[in-house]
Amino acid sequence: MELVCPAGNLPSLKAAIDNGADAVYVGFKDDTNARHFTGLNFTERTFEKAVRYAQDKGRKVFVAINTCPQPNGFKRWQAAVDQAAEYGVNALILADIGVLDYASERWPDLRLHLSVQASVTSAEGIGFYHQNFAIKRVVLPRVLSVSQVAHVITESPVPVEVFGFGSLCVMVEGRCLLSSYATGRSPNTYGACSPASHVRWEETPDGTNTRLNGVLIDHYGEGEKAGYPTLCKGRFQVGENTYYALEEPTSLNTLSILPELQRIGVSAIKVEGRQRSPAYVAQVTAVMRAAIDHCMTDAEGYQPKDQWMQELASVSEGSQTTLGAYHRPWQ
Amino acid sequence: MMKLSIGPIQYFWDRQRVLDFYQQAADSAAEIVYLGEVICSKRRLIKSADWIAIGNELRQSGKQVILSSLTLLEAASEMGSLKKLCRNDAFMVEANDISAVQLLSAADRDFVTGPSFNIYNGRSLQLLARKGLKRWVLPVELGL
Ligand code: SF4
Repeated sequence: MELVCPAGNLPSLKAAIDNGADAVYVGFKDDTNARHFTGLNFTERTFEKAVRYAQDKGRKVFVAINTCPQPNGFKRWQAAVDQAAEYGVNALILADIGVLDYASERWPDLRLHLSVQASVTSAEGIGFYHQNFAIKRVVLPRVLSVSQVAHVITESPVPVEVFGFGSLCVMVEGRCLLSSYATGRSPNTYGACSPASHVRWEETPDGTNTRLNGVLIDHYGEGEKAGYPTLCKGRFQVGENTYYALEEPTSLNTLSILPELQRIGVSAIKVEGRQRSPAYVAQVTAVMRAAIDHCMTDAEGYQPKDQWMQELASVSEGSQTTLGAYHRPWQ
Repeated sequence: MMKLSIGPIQYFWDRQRVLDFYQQAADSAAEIVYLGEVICSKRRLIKSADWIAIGNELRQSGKQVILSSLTLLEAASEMGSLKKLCRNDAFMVEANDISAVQLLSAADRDFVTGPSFNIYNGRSLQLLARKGLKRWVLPVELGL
C-alpha cells in the first residue's frame, strides 16, 4: 500500500517526503485544483523545486488538476496539464471528462489517476474512464463501506486508492452544491468549498459567530474552540433543535482498519489536507508511515498504538475521529 | 421550439400522491416527463413495474417518457437495478451517474444526462455526444 500525502507548499512537501510519504500530491496556484486557497499551492518556480526534491529521493509527485473548467477557462486547465507533463511528474489526478480527454490525447504516456472529485463509486463507472482515457488508478469517494470498497476492487479494471485520514466531505465529492448555493463558488467551479473570501468571524457578547456570505454557520460560546465555517459542518436549527444537522466536524481515521484495507486489495492510502500546516503533514505522514509499515510486515499482530491515535486526534478537525462510511452498519 | 419537461420527483411521496401527480402531468402542457427514483434506493413504494406502467400511460397521452437513474450508487443491489433499468426496452434513460453512461453507451443506446452528472465544457459534451448523449441538463453551477 502506497502512502500518498498532501503538500500545499514546499515546506509541507519536504515534511511529507522526510517523514516517509511514497508520493505527494500538489496543485498549482489557481482554480485548476480543489484546494484553491490564498497563500497555498505552487508557482512554476516552487513546483520545479518540489518535483526535484521528491524525485531525487525516489518518491513520486502527483498533480491534482481536479476541478471542472467552464468553456471560457478551458485553456487554463490545458496549460496546467501541459506544465505538469513538461516537468515529468509521475501522475496527474484529474476529474473532468474534457480535461481527461485532452490529457490522454496530448500526453498519451503520462499516467492519469481519476480524482475523488469525479465521484465514481462503481467498477462500471471506472470502466468508462479506463476505456476512454486509460486511467491507471481511481480514488474512491468517502461514501462507501469497506465491503463496498472490496466489491469495487474485485471488479475494477484499475487499482484503487482510498482516503485514510483527514477532513470529510459528507456529500459525495464533486456533486455537492452547498457552497455554490451560499457563495456562488464551489469545489467544482472555483476549487474551494466555503471560500475564505466569504468567511466572517464575529465577536459577540456571548461568544463567536461564524458566517459564510452572511449566513450564520455556527455560534461558539465562551471557551468553545471555533471551527472553520464549512457549510456542511455548521450547527443549524431544525424544528426545535439546533445541532450538527448535516455532519459533525470529525476527521476520518482508518488506523484501526488498515489490515482490512490491505486484505481487500487497496493499492494506496491518501491523506487529506493540502490546506493544513507542514506540522500537520509531518505528524500525519509519520504516523501513517509507521502504521502501514507495521501492517505490511505483520497484519495479524497489528494494533493501532495509543500514541498514534493520540497524535492523529491532536490534529483532527473537531479533535474527534471516525471511520466514516467505511463502517456503516446499515449497508 | 423549446419544450417543457417535468423532472423526476425528488420527494418521498406516498403512492397515491405519486399516481395523482402523474395523472395531472398527463393533462399538463409538458412534453417530456422524467420518471423514477433518483434519490434513495430504499424508497420502495413504487416498483419498477409501476414506473413502466405510469410511463406507458403518459406515452398514450402523447408525452415523451424518460426513465431516470439513481444519482449515487453504493450497494451491489443498486447496480443490479441500474442494469435492469438500462436494459428496459420501452424508454430512453436519463443517466444520473457515470455508471449509467457506461452501461448505455456499451449497449449502443441513446441517453440523456441529468443534473447531477457533471458536464461543464464543450470538450466533455463532445465526447459524450459521441457516446450517445442526446440531451443534457446543464449543471446549475454553470455561469452564463
Ligand atoms: S459543503 Fe461539505 S460536503 Fe459539500 S463540498 Fe463542502 S466540505 Fe464537502
